[in-house]
Formats: sequence, C-alpha cells, structure tokens
Amino acid sequence: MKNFQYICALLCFWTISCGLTAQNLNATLSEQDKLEFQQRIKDNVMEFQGYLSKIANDKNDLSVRNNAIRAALNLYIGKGKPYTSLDDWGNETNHDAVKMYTSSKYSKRLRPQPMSAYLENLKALGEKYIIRVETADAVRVDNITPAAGGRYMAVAYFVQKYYRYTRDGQLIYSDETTKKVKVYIDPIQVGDGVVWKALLGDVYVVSTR
Amino acid sequence: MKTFCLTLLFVLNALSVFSQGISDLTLDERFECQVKSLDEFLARLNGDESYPDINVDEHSHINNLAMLMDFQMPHKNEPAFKEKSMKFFRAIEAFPRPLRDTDSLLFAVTTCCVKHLGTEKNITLILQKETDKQNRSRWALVGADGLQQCGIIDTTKVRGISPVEHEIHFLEMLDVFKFHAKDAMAFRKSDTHIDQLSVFLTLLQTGQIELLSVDKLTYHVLAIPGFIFTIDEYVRTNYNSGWLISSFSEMGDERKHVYIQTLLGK
Repeated sequence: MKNFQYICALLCFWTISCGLTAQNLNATLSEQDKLEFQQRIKDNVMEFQGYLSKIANDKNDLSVRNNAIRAALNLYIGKGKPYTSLDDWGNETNHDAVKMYTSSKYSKRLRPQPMSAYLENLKALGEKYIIRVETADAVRVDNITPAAGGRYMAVAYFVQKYYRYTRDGQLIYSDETTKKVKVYIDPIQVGDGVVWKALLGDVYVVSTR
Repeated sequence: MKTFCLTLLFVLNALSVFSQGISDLTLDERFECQVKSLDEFLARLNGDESYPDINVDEHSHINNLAMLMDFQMPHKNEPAFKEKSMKFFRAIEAFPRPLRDTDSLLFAVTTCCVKHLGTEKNITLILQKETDKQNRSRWALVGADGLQQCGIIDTTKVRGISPVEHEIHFLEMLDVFKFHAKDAMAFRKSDTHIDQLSVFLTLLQTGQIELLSVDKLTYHVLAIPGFIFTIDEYVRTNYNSGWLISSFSEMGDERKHVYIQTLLGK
C-alpha cells in the first residue's frame, strides 16, 4: 500500500511538472508580452543598424569589422545560414539563408542577396568610400501573429538614410529606404517562467532616391 | 457639417499642393506619417489609429480616410471626384465591422516574374488570407492570370481528335498526346475553361516553372458595399507615402462578382 501511495505521489508530481512546463512554453501573449516583443525587436533592429555603421567604417580594424559582421548575423535566424521552420500544420519548411532584398530606381525588380554577402559587400564599399548610415528613432512592429511551437512572427518597419561620399568628402549617392524585416519570436524556458528571444528574418527594402 | 466639409475640401485640395513636393520632413516625421504596412492602413481605415496631427473630433475618421488616398490620383480636382470621395468615405464609416486582412473580399494581387522554358515571363498570382477553426492563418493562392498573354499556355488553338475515334476506343489519343503535348490545351472542348491556377501549380510541381521575383503587390478590396478600391505602395519622401488608396469606384454586387472572376483569371 505504501509503495502504491509512493508511486501515485511520483506520478502526480511528474504530471504537474509537465503541465507547468508545457503551460509556460505555450504561454499565451499578454499585452505586456506584446510590449516586451516590440522593445526586444526594436533593440535588435537598432543593434543591427549599429553594426552596419561599424562594418562600413574602414577606420575600424578589420577584426572589429569582421566581428561586427558575425555579431550582425547572429541577430538573424539561422545566423545567416540556411534554416528550417515549422508551419502550423507541422510541415517543416526549408529556407535559404536570410536575404536582404534591395531595389534600385533603375530596376523595378527586387534582387535578393544572402545577408552575409550584403554585409561583406558593405565592408568592401567602406574601403573605397565613406559610408554614413542614419536611422529614424521609431521602429514600428506589426502583425504579431502566433505560429507553430509557441513561436510568434511579426514584421518590423524602420527607415534608414544611406550616404556614400568619396574619400575627399564629396557626396556621390544617397537614398532613403523603408526596411521591412520579418521577425521570429521564440519562447525560452527559464526556471518557472518564459523569456522571449527575437531573431530577424528576410529584409525587404523599398528605396527612394 | 459646414466646418467638416470645409476641412475635407481643404484636405482634398491640399492633395494637389502637397503632391507637387514640399520641403522634406524629418526622417522621424516621415516615418510617422507613412503608412508602412497593410496592418497600419487597416488600423487607420478602421479608425483605430490616426494620422499624426489629425485632431480627435467627430470628423477625424473622415479626415484619416482622406489622408489614406494617393494625393496624385487622377481627376482629383474634378467636382465629381470630391462628391464621389465623400460617398466612398461615408460607406467606409458605415461599414459595420473592422476591415481585416482575412476578409473574404480582400485579395492580394502579385505581379511575378517566372522562368518557363528558359525564358523570363510575367504572370499574376492572387492570394487570400485563410483562417481555420483552430485559428491558424495563412496566405493561400486563389488564382493565377497572364499565362495566356505570356505564352505559357495557348487557349486559342484547336486540335482535333478524329470524329470516328470513339469506335476504336479513342486510340488516337496515344499518338496526339505523345507528339503534340505542347498543344495540350488545344484538345479541350471549346467552351471548357482552363483553370490557370491549376496549370501554374502543375508546372510548379513538375519543375517546369520557377518563380524568380515578386515585382509588385496590389490589394483589391471589394468588402465596402457599393465600392471597390485598390491599395498600392507609394515610395515618396513626402508625407503622402506608403500604402495608399490608388483607385476607387462604385460597383454593385453583380459587377463585383464579375470583377472577382476576372481578377482570378477565370
């Protein structure tokens, strides 16, 4: 009888533990959560923009710029490499490495390039020209939508101004781009609670000149 | 009412002034004004959000709707346009529920570049957002168009299967399908409709078509009673930028049905 009671107690404890864990990992989104998402996403976006300036500035050591590229890629899902995601129907979807889409006034067609290539190109440009990147303070986050496995998706919008000067300070190019970046927000179990981790996805750019 | 009409007339007249270009606003000001997403467009359309600097009063919804218009829309200075605009805004105001991107009368129409038989061509793919009973939502294809125009299919050609073929169990089909597969569409009955979406999906599945890029996106909205309108993205440095109403017209339900069929390539 004693053994039976012991086993029942163990089973109850195990069941409650599983329930707690599952409940936390399947946490539904509160308004506070949404505000936290928005802040987390804004922080990630601003951090990425900061890295762009660092990468493009050839006054920084090569190692600093390469580290900035690595750090920037770590903000992205797959860390700049091909990745998989799960849809709501349990299908695994393969994705190429995160892409940066760019547009030009000379071509209506949007051309994607892997984010790692975009950042390397920026580094190379910084060696030939003086590059300045200016970002609006505001970042808008929309379309916060539940996805599979407790994940959330969102889209962040921000504006960036880009200037390119010759080495002697002559402005040769500038544009203003509205960037739209897909965001993946994953729950991470920490003790009895959940923290949210935001990873950036493909970046769509609409350019004006 | 008079004050409100004056406000609206001012705003609508301002369309021509401001579309000519004013001094650039700051980056932050432009960002606030710009309708950056469909989500933001619908929030302003539904009255949940406001264009910056529009006072909250009984006219703010109409004023916000006016600011959702493309200032460079044709015929905007004509008196008939202003009257039609007011009617359109009133119809949106009277709409009994918030307009969502999951509305069954909202279509996303994409102009895409595809590669077919080594050649790049442009087609249109139409999508709608679908939500199931478990509240899972996704965009899904509902139509394709332009396959005839760019030569992927030919729906004009007619090829015959011999009128006596029935007596030999239609054996000629083995020959004609083998040697004239490229004219596959030509073997159908003249009044049998080709579903372009099915053609596209089959070509996609068999690797004969490759999507290269999505070049343009326009939303077509037929949910507002008596009206249809389109939403396009305008990339500008002034405060009339982002997703804006690019066109609107009066349309009854019967014509809407025809419009949808045409839109879906049917």
